Amino acid sequence: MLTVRLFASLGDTVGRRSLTMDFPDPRTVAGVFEKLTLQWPEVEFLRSSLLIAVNYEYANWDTSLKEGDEVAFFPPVSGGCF
Amino acid sequence: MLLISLTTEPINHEQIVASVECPEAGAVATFDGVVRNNARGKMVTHLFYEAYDGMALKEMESIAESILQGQSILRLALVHRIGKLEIGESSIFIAVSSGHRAEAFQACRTAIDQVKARVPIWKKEYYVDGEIWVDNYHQCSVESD
Repeated sequence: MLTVRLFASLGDTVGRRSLTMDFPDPRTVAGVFEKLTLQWPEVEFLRSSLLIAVNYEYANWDTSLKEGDEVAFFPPVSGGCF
Repeated sequence: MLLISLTTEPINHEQIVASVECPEAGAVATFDGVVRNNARGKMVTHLFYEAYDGMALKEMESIAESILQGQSILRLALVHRIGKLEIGESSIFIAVSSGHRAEAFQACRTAIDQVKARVPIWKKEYYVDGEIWVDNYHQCSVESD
């Protein structure tokens, strides 16, 4: 099982900020996102702008996953315009 | 010495400044990020900050540690508020102490720039007639510090 975390506009689009998921095939970040798009097709158009983290470390679409990993997808960080 | 935190409570500036004071310090520089009443030509009523808490803290610690290693910094404090914020409230407060002023100013600047680039915290702006996430659709790059 994996934990998937979603934030900001992506979390609003899906209507959830956390969910669990069985391993996708292939066992990569891209595979996880494919499964998300099956259930929430509207996230597809966000794909190109999203950042990815696995277990709190910035990662990429090819990063492979293991049991218990936490995968996060989120828009570019905005910290604020001071 | 480091003070790194996320808080849903109003930021206590005096307490944070006190945390970086020490006898060896000849300079304390601070940066206070404040909620503005306008953005993108519209009146802002309030903001909401969302954080990926665990990762945000990890990134904030990493930024602070790299600043402490690379420059002559004595102490550093980095506090980001999350949740709902009203106009005029502080969303982020940074305090740095060093022997002399140049290092403290530079470290403050580096810290806020790095936070904005790396730390997973997002801002939602609320207007009288709606709200938007300030993210991939609405980058802040056209607005300078």
